[in-house]
Amino acid sequence: MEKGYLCPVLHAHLPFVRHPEEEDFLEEYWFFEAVSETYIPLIQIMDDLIRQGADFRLTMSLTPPLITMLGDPLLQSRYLKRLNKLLDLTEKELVRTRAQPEFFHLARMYREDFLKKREVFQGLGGNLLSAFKKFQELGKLEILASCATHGFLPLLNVNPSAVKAQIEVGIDCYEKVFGTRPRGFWLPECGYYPGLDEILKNSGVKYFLLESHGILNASPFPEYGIYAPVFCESGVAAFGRDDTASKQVWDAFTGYPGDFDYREFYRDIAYEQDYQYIKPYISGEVRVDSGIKYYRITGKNGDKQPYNPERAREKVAVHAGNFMFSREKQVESLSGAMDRKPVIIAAYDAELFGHWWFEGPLWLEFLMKKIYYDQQTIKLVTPSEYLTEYPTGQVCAPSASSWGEKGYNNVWLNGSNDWIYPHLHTSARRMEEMAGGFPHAEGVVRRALNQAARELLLAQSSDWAFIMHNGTQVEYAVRRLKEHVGRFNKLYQDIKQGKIDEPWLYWIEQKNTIFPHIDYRVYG
Amino acid sequence: MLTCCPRCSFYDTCELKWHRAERGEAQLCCDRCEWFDQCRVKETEEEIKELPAVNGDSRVALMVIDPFHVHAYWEITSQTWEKIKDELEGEFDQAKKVLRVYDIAYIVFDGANANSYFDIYVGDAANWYIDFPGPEKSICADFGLLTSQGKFYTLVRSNFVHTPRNGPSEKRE
Repeated sequence: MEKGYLCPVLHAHLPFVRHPEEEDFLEEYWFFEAVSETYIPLIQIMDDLIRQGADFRLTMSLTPPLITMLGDPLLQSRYLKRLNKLLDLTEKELVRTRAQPEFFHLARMYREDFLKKREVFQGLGGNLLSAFKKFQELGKLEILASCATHGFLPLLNVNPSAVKAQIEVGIDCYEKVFGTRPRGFWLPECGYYPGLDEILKNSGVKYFLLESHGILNASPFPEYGIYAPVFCESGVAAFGRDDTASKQVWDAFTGYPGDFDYREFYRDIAYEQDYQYIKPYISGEVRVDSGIKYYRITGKNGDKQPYNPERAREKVAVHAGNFMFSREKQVESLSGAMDRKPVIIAAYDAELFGHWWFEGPLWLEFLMKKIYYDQQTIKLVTPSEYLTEYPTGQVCAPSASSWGEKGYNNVWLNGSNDWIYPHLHTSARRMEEMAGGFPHAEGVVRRALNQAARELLLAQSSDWAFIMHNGTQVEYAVRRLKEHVGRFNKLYQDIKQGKIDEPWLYWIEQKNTIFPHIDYRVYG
Repeated sequence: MLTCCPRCSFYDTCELKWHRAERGEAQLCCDRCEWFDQCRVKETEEEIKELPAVNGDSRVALMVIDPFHVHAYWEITSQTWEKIKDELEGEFDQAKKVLRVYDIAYIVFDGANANSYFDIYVGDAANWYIDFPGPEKSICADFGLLTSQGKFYTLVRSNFVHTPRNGPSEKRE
């Protein structure tokens, strides 16, 4: 009989990037890469585990922008086109590396890998959502709902209706795709402030997850720390992320992904081969990752050795064993001091697995297999299952917090991005005003109001503020913010003046296909 | 504005265009052209990206950054400035722009009953990073003018915010 639980959580999200007006668009490659390197590999490991009969549990958020992109026929066909191009490149690589055995077998590995990815993708009719839905229906995967566009709620709550709309539109999207109401909710960036639980409760949410100090700084002091959920006054449960389990995986210096045997992310052939050779496989004139990388991290400095998949695989087994052992020890030391089995929440960005950490999905598979076959101290669990076993607990008020650098809101509010908030707050206020002023709009006015709600939501993506803070591809984030706010402003003026620019409205409706069923009255 | 271009199938024969030239007016694109909507959408998309500096209403807003910092921004319309100028008359020119930050813990704030307050002379800034004395504070702020006689005129009042706890709670069950 197990003494405690491990609850692995992956947060999968990308901003809504879809540019039908361009043949080839640089920022769409974010999506292509994540599909190839993270989402398909996660489906592959879950399928493998099921095939092998190794029972597992995984909890995952899929945000509405990502859900929309995964289900979008245009992006699906563009992804397939990209994958076919890369397959073409792997074929050329087999020729180019034929006299270099240390690279040739890697070229072959990539070719086989890409062929398998295509098989998975085509096997699902291009729609990966059906696989995630299937895993959820089998009881292996619990999918969390999230905000409509990854709005960072602690900075949007100047307008309470903006927070409510982010949550309700997000849940509505979930329900339409997965055919069921979500029990759990992923707060973007784990951003929380006291009172948010009430809004979640009103939307039927049973639990959410917080960064450790959101729970540890709760009041009264939580008796079991982050190893059991606390219950807000509203009755909604809050789970806290375990710091140790997190650091072992994502810490830039001490985490597993930095191991010298693992594949080096920054040595992609797209940047190393002649321009003429690589030209057909890049975006316009900009070199973009091909995913074909031949080196291992090797050491802290520049000189890199060829990647050795067998060695990496052995290391994955060691790291999976180490992680499991640490959790077993943790559970053993906790279990005597608690009136219930402890639960360890190990939450990460999904894109760390496979995209940044090439071996990540395999590590997850090894970990789950080891937990199933090799020990009896811990068992995998989803938050819902835990709450079924322990439906009550200590009542505490969690503290404002986020999982961003320094633990609060400064990543999304600082000198690089503070200029966006006057616009976001004004637009939200105007949206409320319009929802109040047009309680029963029909026809083109209704379309314009719904589009205004979409543009507002898209402007609120925390991604834009994050990119501005982070300093890479800032121009795109600024452009997107200005486009959405600008369109919102025009819609607002047009609606007020009763002069809707229909051809333009039609055009932006076609472009931003997210939330086809939105009802602007969510702001009412 | 969009001008007539050779993409239009009427370009060579369009009378409207010739008329306009004869009258010395610009040869503007019009909806006779099959490209009209597409070109105009493109143009509109360029125009909308110019965001206005002030969004229409006078207001000040607070946002929490962390237990020790709060951010404030304000927008004051020309109408609000005109109004206060009339009210203050001669004193207006000497008055200083001030952000008055109130501690409003455990009270129903009515503008005059704050536990304490401090003033920040903000000059011509439109936002401010407030180093606040500490966590677990409830605050509100007014943006206004402080006259040389020491009288404060509120132009706008902010939302209320609460800074988070900075460590474990001392309250135990």
